[in-house]
Amino acid sequence: MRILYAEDEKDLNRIVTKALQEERFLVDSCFDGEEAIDCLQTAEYDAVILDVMMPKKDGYDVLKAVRSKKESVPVLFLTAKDAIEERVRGLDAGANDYLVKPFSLEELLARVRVLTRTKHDTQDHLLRAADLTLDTVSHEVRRDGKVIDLTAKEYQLLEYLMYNQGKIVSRTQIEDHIWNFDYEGGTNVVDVYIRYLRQKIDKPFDQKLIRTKRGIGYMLTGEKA
Amino acid sequence: MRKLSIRSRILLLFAGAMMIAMALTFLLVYIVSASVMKKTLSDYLMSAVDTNVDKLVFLTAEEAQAEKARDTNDLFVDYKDGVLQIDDDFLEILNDVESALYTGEGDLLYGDNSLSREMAGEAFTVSRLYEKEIRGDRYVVYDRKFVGKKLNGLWIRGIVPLTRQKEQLAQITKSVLAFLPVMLLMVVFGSVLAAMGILGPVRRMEQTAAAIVDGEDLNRRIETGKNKDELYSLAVSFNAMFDRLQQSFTRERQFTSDASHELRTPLAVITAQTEYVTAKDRSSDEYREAFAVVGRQAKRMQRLVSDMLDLSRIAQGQKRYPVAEVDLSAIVTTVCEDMKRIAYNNIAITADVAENMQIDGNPDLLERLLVNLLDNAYKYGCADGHTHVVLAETDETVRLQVQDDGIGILDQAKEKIFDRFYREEESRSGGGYGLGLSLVAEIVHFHGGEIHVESQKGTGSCFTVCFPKKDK
Repeated sequence: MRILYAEDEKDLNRIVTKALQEERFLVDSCFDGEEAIDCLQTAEYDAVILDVMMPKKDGYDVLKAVRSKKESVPVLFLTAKDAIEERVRGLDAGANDYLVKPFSLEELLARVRVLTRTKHDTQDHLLRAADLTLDTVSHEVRRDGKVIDLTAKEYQLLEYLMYNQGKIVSRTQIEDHIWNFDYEGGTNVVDVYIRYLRQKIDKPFDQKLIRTKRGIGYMLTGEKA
Repeated sequence: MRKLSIRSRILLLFAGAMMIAMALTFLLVYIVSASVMKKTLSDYLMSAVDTNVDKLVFLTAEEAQAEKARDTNDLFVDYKDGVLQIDDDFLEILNDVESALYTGEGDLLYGDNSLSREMAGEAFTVSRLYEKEIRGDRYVVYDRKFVGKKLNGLWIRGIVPLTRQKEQLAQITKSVLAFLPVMLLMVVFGSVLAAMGILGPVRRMEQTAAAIVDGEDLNRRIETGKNKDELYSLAVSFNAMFDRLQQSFTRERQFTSDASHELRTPLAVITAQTEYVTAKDRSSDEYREAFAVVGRQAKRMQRLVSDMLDLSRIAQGQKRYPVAEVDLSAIVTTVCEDMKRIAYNNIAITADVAENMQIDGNPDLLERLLVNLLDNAYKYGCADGHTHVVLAETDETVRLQVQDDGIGILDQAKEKIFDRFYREEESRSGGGYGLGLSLVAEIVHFHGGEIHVESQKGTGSCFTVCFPKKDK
């Protein structure tokens, strides 16, 4: 899950980014509206968290940029303005959620989880494919009842594949969602992580869930071939 | 009287005035009718007496014999050496006037009745009306002396009772009294109408004011009405007051909302930071960083709160900040030296300070004023820039100027920069809270001075503060 977070207060930006990363989200954090718009133009996000009052471009400007894109991305406004009119204005402008400062990290994370679930059309925090389950809250992955230990990247990759179950996702799409701008690895990084993941969730079992679509990308499905 | 409403007071005053007017009218009518009646009565009396005077002839015995033989209706009375012939036209009673004939000694000759008998022996008064009380009743009396051969020494006396007049006056009084309740009713009705007419608009004003108090709807205004009368100007004044109230209320509300907004951000950082480090075991580096962040944000809140407190304290006036004669030159020099030491962004400060500029003021506040202005110059200055401070005297003021070559201020922002929490770009990027310049403005206002700013975006700003000169 790749998230864009824009907040000009540096301390707050740092700590929220950390907390989101701990939740295994991939975070691009920026400090003003212009930067946020730049990010939106070059990458695809699963959720956007915006401070309203920011230098250069405010949250509403950024929201406009988000909505002008074809794909719909859930947006959460995070602001110190608590007046009802402000909340209504934010929601009417197209924000999916609104959280007033000071907020609880816990609540913010829960709301972000809801937003990403909505985006992927699931109501439950538990994702399933055949006998494989992934808990988006506790980050526990089980297959056939046994807990499987995954690294952060592996988890993110699996989560992305499970959210897109039955759909073919290209390497670029995977790269866009799992690696942020800080990454400058080679082009076969996706293949490498797919291999790691297969080792852990497919190899010990008969039914292989991750399938390679040659020349296009990968697909995860619980259906038997 | 104090506890009565204006409505009742108007009612009472109006009714009272009307009652007094009515009483006076009644009194006037009474006096005039009394005097008119008395005049009429006197006229009757005199004409009756004057008429009767011609009805008396003195005859010798022979003449009397002849008269008696010719006319039997007349009356003949022996008098001195002859006879008095009293014409049958002699009217003993005419229009209540009773006439009687007396000798000079007061003996009754003719017109015998209880009244004339009573009045016999009474001294005569020549050609003048006078009043007399007989057996408890008042009468008007008129005596006339006969003049002519043989008739000298005879008197005719007319007498008329005043009771008739009394009865008539009583009649008038009675009808007035009968009319009184009707009048009273009309007066009260009139008073109520008048009170309503006058107090109607006042009542509406009061209702509007009450609605504003109850509903907290400060947008409501009193209808001013069409007549440009006293109530119109009262309504206009009230509306102006409401405008002013709404303005300051809105400003206060904005301030509170802005202040809480400003406090929310550091609070959010502290909450998030503590929640993050307490969620699970963290490294000592992370703890250290958490404490640093919390400390930094707490300090920020503290600065904000103390600035806000200062703002409200300055608004309280001189109780908090005593005013005395201060040497502004010394303050400016010291502050400039101090600020040079904390040089920021390599911005140079130069000062051109006229000596011994005395004004009435509070040294702490004046220091704060210049510190904030220089702070501002630092904050919005460009690296390696230059800020110049000038303190000089003009004809009527002591003028302090702070000129920088920083980023400058947009034209549309010039009016807003002294507003609380205003910052260009509506952001926290500058690091301040937007209270610095409003504190400056507040301090200038406290000293009875004026502040204005000249600026061009990109070339710098010049703040000019003018203090009134000390009275000499």
